Amino acid sequence: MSEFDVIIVGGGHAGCEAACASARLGARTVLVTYRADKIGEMSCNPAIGGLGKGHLVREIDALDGVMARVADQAGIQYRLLNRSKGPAVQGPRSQADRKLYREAMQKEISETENLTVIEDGVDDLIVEAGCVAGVVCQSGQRIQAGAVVLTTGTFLRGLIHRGEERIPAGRVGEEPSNELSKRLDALELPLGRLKTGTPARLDGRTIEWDRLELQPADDEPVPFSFLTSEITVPQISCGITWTNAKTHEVIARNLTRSAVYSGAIEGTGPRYCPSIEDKVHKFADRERHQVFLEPEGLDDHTVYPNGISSSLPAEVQDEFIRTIPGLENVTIIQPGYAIEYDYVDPRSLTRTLEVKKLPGLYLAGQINGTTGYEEAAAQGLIAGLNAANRVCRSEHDDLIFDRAEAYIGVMIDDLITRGVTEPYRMFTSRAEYRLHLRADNADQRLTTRGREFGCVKDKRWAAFGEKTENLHSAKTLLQSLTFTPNEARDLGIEVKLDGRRRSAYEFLTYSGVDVDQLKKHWPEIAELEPAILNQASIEARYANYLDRQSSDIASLRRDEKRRIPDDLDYADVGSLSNETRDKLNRIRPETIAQAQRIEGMTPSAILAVISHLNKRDKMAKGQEQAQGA
Amino acid sequence: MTPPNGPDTIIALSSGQGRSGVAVLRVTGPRAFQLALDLTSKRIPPAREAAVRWILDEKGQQLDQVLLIRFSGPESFTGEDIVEFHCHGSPAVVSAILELATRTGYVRLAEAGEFTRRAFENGKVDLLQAEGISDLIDSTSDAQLKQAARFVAGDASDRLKTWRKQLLEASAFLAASIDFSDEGDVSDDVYLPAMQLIEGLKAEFETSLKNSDRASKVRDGIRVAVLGKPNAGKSTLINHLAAREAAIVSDIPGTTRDVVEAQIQLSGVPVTIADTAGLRVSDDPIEMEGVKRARIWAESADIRIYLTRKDDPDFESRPDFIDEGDLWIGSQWDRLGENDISDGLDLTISVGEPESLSRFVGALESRVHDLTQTQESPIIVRQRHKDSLLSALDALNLSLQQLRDFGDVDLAEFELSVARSALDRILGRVDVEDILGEVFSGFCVGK
Repeated sequence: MSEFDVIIVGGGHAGCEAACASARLGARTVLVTYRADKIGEMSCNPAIGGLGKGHLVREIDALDGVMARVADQAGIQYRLLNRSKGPAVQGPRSQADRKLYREAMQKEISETENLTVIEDGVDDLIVEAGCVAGVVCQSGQRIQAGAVVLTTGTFLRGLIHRGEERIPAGRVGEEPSNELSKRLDALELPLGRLKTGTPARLDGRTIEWDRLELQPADDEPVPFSFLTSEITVPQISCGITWTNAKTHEVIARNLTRSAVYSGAIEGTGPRYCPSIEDKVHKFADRERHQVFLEPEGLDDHTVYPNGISSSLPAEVQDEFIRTIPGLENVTIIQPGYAIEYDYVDPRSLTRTLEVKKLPGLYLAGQINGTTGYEEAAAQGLIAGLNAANRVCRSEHDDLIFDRAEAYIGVMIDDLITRGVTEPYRMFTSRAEYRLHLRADNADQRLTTRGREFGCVKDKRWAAFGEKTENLHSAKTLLQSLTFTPNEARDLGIEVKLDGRRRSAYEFLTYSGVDVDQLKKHWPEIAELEPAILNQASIEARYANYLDRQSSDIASLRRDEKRRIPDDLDYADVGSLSNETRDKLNRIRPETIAQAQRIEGMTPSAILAVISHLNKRDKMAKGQEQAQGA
Repeated sequence: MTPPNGPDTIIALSSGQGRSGVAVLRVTGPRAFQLALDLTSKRIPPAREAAVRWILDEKGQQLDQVLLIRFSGPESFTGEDIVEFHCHGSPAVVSAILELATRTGYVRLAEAGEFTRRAFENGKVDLLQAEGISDLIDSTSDAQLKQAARFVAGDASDRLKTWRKQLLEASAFLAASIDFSDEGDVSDDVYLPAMQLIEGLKAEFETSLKNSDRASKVRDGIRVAVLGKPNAGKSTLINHLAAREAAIVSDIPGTTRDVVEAQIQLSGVPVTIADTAGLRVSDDPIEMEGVKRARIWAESADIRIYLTRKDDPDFESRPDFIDEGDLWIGSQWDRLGENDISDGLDLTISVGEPESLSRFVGALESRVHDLTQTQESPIIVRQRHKDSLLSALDALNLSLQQLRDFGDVDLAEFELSVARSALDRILGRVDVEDILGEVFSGFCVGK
C-alpha cells in the first residue's frame, strides 16, 4: 500500500492551496517542491487580490482555503478597489509583505494535518493501467499515490529572456523542469508557450520618496477572510511616479534589443500586463505611464516598481529607470526579465481540472495558461479537493461550480471550453452574473456547498451559521418595518402615491436610497451590526436584478444538467458541419451548456446534439424494456 | 447508401413549378458532385464554369441535355458543395431527373426552406438575411422586393452589427472603469464617452422603431377601408381600382353586407382595399353584423376613405373618424345636380369623369407613399425584431439613468448587456471576449 493518496507537485500558490485542500478532505497528501523555504513565495508583484482576483480570494476563503487567511497576516496596504462603483464590482486588494506571507503560508502548511513536505524535483509520472499512480523524483525516489496535481508555474521548460541573454530557469536563480515537460509532451498533451514578465527590483533606500505622491492604505482595512475580524499588521503607503518623454526615448531607441521585439520570444504575453516597451510602442501617443512603487515588506528595502516590467538588457533598464522622477539615483537590486514557459491547452481538462486522457492527473495554475496568484490558488483548491475526493471517497460527486455560482466556475469553464491565447486573468467582466457573484456574499454562495462536500471545518461553519442567522433576522426586521407612500415622501424617498405600504427592505432596492436615510426614522435599524446591515442592504440593492436574470440562470442550470456522455461519437450526430464536429470532438464538452459556449457554435448544431441525445436515451430505454421483458 | 452521419445530400426544383423554358434543379450536400458524375457519366466541369452535359438514365438512355454548374463548398450559397442542373422546363423532364436522383439512394428531396437553413447553419447568412431570403421569395410587390433584397444584401445586418459594436464600445468604457480602475491609464471620467455613445444609439433605435412601422407596412401591405352610407358608391370605386368585379354593385342600398377585400399595388406597395357595408342603422341582423365588421375594419385600417353623396342630408362636416391621412370624398358628383358645398372635401369624383378618378388614385397613392417611404434601409420589419429593439431601448434608458442619476456603473453595464443580448436575439450571438477585445484595443492597461 502506498504511503500517500495525493501528490502535489509545486509549492507556489496553486500548490499550497491544492495541498491544504486535499489534506483538509482527509487525504494523505504530500507536497513535493524543490525548496521548502520557497513555499508561498510571491515571485512577481507583492500583492494579493484586486478586481476579479479579490473575488477569487473570497471564494477560496468561503471554501475554507488558506490564501485569504494567510494574506490577512501579511497585508500591509489594504485598499478596497471601486469603492464608489457598486458592491458587485468592488475588489479587496492589499500589498503583501513577502516575508510575512511566506512565513504564514509555511506555518499553515506545517500545521496542516495529513500533509507532508518532501524537498525534491519531479522528473516523471508513474502511469499504471492508463491512470496516474505516482511520480518519480530527481533523487530517484518513487512516490506512489492515487492522484497527482501538477502546479509547475513557470518552471516547465522555463526560459528567462533579458536583452540578448537566455537563461533556462523556473524563476531567477532556480532550475527549470525540463524532464517533466518532456514527459507531458510524450503523453501527447497539447503544449504551448506563454510568456510573462517582471520589472526590476529597486533599493528603496535610494528612492527619493519625499518627491513622490503617496498612496495611503484605506483608513479601515477590509480583510480578505470572513474569519478575520481585525487587521493588525502595520499599514504603509506606496509611491506614485510617472515615466516621461526621456524614458520613452531611451526605450524606443533600444526597442530592438528587447527580447520581445527582437523576435526571440515565441510565447504570447498578456495584453493587460504589458511590458513598458509594449506600452511605449503600442501607445506611442501617451506622454507618460504611471508607476507604483510598492515596498515588498515592512523590514525589506526592496521595492517593486509596478508598471515597468521589461526584458530590455540590464544596462538599458538602468538607463530608463533613472529618467523617472524620484528614481534618478536608484540602485537596481535585480533587473527585470521576461520568462517563457510551457503550458498545457486547458481544453484537454475536465471541469475538475483532471486531464481527460490521463485519469488521476490534475493540473492547476500557470500550467493551464493562467496568470496571477489568485487564479492559481483557486484552481489549486478545485484540483486538490477533487483529487482527494477521487482517491479517498466514493460517495461524493465531483465538486464543480457553474458560471452562475462562482468566479471559480467562470474561470474553469472559460479555460476548458475556450482555451487561452494569452495568459488568462480574472476580470469581473468575464462573469455574466457578476451582480450576484460578489466578494461580499462569497460565503453565502459557497460555504454550505463546501460544508456538504466536507472541506469546510467546524470553526468556519460555526461562524458562518452565526452570520447567516444574523443576516436572516436583519432581513426579517427590514421587511417588517413599513411606511405609507406619504410617510416615505417625508423621508425624501420618491414613491408612487398608491396607498401601498412599502418595507424598509423594499426601499433599499431603489437606486439612490441608502441605509442612513432609513436609520433616522427606524432606530431599530441603527442597532443592527453594521456589517450585517451592510450585507442585507447590498442584497436588497441587487434583488430586482437577480429576478431579471433568474430565467437566464434557470436555463443555464437546465443546460448544465444535460450531460453529454463521454462516449458520444459525434460522427453519429446528424446534420453537423465538419467544422462543428471537429470542434466538438476536440473539446468534448461535458454538458449542453458548455457546448453552447464553444466559440462559433450555432444554435442548430446544439439542437442536433440534443435531439441525438434524446434519440439515444429513447433507444436505451427501449433496450432496457426489451431486456426486462 | 446514405452516409451514416453529417448532412445528407438534397435536391430540389429551385425555379418555379409548371412549364417553362428552363428549369433549375439544385443539389447541395457532400455527395452533390457524386450525383453530377453519376447522372452524366462524364467529368464535372471546374467550379463556377458552365458545361453542357447529357443526363443519362440507368440504362444509359439520354434523358435531357442540361447546363451543369458546380460550386465547391464553402464558397457556395449553402456553404456545401452545390450542383445546378439547368434542364428543359418540362414538368416531365424535371420529375424524371428528380426521380433518377433520389433512386441513387444517397440523395433525397429537400424540404421547404432547407437550402436557406443550411446556409444559416453553416454561417453563410445570419438570421436577418435568412428572413430576408424568405421575404424575397414571398414578395409580391416592387417595394417588398427591394426591401427584402436589402435584407439579403445584409444592409440591416450591417446596421445591427454597427449598433452592437457601439454597444460593445460603451460597455468597454464601463468595463475599463470597473476592471482597470486602479491602473494608471484609465481615467475616472471614462464613463462620459460611454454616455455619449448610449445617447447616440438611443436616438438611432428610436428612429428605427419609427421607420419600422413603415417597413412592416411594406412587408405586410397597407389596408384601406372604404366607408360611406349605403349606396354612396363604395363598391363602384373599388371596382374601378381593382379593375375587376370584386364587389357586387347594384342600386339597392345595402348590397354589400360583408367586408369584401381587393388586392392592388400602389406606389410599389401591396394594398388591400376593403369594401365595407354601408354605415346605416338597419333592422336586418345580417346587415347590422356587416356594419359592425366595417367599423372594426375601419378602425384598424391604415387609410380610411369616406364617401359622401352630394345629396346626403347629413352632408355638412368632416366625420370625426376621418383623420388627416384619410380621404373624405364627394361621390357621384356628376349625377346629382348642382351643389356648391364642397368645403372640407379632399376630392370629388364622378365615374363619368376619368380625370377625377385618376386624381383620386393619385391622392391615394401619395398617401400610401407617405406611410411607407423611409429615409434609410429599414432594420425592423417583423414583430420579433420590434420586440427585441424595444427592450434594447428600455435597457439603454435604464443604463443612462443609472449613470446620470446614481453613478452606478455596475448596474449601467448590466443594462447594456441586456441591450446587447436583445440585439443578439435579432442576429444570434453574444460573447464577453468581444468586450475585453474592445477594451484592450482602446486602452493601455496594466501597471
